[in-house]
Amino acid sequence: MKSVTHSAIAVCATSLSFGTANPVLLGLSAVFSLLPDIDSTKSSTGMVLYPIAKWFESRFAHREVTHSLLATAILALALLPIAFWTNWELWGVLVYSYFWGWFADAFTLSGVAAFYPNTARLVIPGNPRARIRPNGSFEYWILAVCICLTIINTNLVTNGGLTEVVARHFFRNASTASAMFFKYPDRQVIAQVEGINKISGERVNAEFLLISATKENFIGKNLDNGNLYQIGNDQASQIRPSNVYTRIGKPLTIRSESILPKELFVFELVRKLPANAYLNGSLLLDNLSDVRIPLILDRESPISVYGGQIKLSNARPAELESLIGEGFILDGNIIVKVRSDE
Amino acid sequence: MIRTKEIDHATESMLNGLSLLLFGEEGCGKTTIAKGVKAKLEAAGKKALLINYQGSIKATLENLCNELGIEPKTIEQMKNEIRTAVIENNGEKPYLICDNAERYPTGLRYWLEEISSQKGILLLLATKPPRKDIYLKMPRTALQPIAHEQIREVMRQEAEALGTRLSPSEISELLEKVGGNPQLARRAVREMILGIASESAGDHTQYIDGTPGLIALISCIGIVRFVGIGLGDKSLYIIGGIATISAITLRLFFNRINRRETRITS
Repeated sequence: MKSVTHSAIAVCATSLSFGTANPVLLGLSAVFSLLPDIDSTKSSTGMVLYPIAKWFESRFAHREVTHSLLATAILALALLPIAFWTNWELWGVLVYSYFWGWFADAFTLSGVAAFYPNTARLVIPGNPRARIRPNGSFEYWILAVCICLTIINTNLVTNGGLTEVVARHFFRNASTASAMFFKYPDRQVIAQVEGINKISGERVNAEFLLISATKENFIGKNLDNGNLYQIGNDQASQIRPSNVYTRIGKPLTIRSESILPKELFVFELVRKLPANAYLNGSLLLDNLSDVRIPLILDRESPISVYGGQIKLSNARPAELESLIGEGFILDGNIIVKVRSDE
Repeated sequence: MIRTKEIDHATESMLNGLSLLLFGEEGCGKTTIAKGVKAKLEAAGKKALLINYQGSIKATLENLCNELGIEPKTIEQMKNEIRTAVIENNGEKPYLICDNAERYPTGLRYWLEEISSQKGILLLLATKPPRKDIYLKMPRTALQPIAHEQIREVMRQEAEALGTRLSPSEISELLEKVGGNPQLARRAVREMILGIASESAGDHTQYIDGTPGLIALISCIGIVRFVGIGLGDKSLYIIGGIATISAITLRLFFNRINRRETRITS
């Protein structure tokens, strides 16, 4: 088998098994897959490490001791310090690539002495006519398939991995969007929602930027009108979705701070807050009976009265000032969340 | 010289009055052992008869009669006289060395079994002996593949006999095809020198078919399905299902292509 085929198989196996598209890991995988052929001075590895190859060649048959589980175990032990000093993934990739470097030869005519010191040769399949012949066309097919699989998997990995891609394409619901929101705290998560507004009966087909989420539903900001909606199949949600396609947006940082406002007017508090902040928490006002909060049913209500207090749920400072700007805060507890994308 | 250890062991067993069956693949050195044991026994002052069946019981028995100085007659008479010579000739009774014993017809096997049961001392050398009559009754030893060093030496000698030399690299490559078999080693050298080194698998029998293991391993990927159920992850469930179906497909595929061709092919 050619060196390039060995490398392609090992890179493909590493990419699929470790779910990685890291070019350093894949490059090391390609190099380590060629190591087993150090038992031949005609191989590319043997030419580079000629004295070692010559030593092996004069003592062992080709594809024997270096193409065995024993050699793999010795290499794994020898590289164990890498696992402790750097990380287990790197160690795993190196050993795994070496393994694939020789295991692929089990599919060739001569097979490999996988169980050395037993010199019997491991072959797959048993029928020699169905095994890979040197310089045969079948090897090129393997090479092509491995390259294609590597490209596909690299694409999948950069999009979140196979399970995530399957979930995004086959399970188009609010739960998948919520799961993505929790998985990517440092990225925008955008959901394309088709469904119906349960209160107004309007058909919905719009993009929503996820602001917060629970396991079953999420609060999304409609990118067309800027309003917040709770989207999910539960009773409290305003939008019942029939199809949710989730995608990852730009990188994002979220700064969060907890404040305890006391004995000040609401407009004084608002001046201290960034205009693009989202406020969550509660305020105890002196003159609550004078406060009039409009009833909002067809979308998420950011400011409401609950249990004798003002409840804030992703409220904006401007909304707070316009509705209860003259209110006097006796006590409060607010989490101020500022997103870098707004 | 190859198989010296086996020759010494077989000779010692026979001199101690014990019969023995040695078996191994074609070309592994059985005839070398037969000739070596005969030479050693004769060097020890014993009489040894080498039986090499070539397709005719009568011709085989006539050869033995000639060696024992018996006048050849009918098959039954020759059998009786040879048996008498082998069993009853106290102190000087000849040892029987039977090469290629797997080829022997029923009549010859039963005759040897009778000799063995009457304290005649035999050395049987066979390829894949069947599990019956004389093969089953005799103590047996499997002949192991010859060590690389000896095979290398066989190859060097063969190359030198043909007026050429092989590099360590060439020997190393040939070694993977011969599997510790001296006859295949000589053939591989001749093919290389003739420039007709085939790209076929070696004809030795030191192969382990890893297909069942591979299929079992692929089938294990189906476990992902159950992990998916356990974790409530529908994606894993789907991926595990796809893996299970793939494993079943691969199993069918490998079963299909694993039907062996027994004829010599290119």
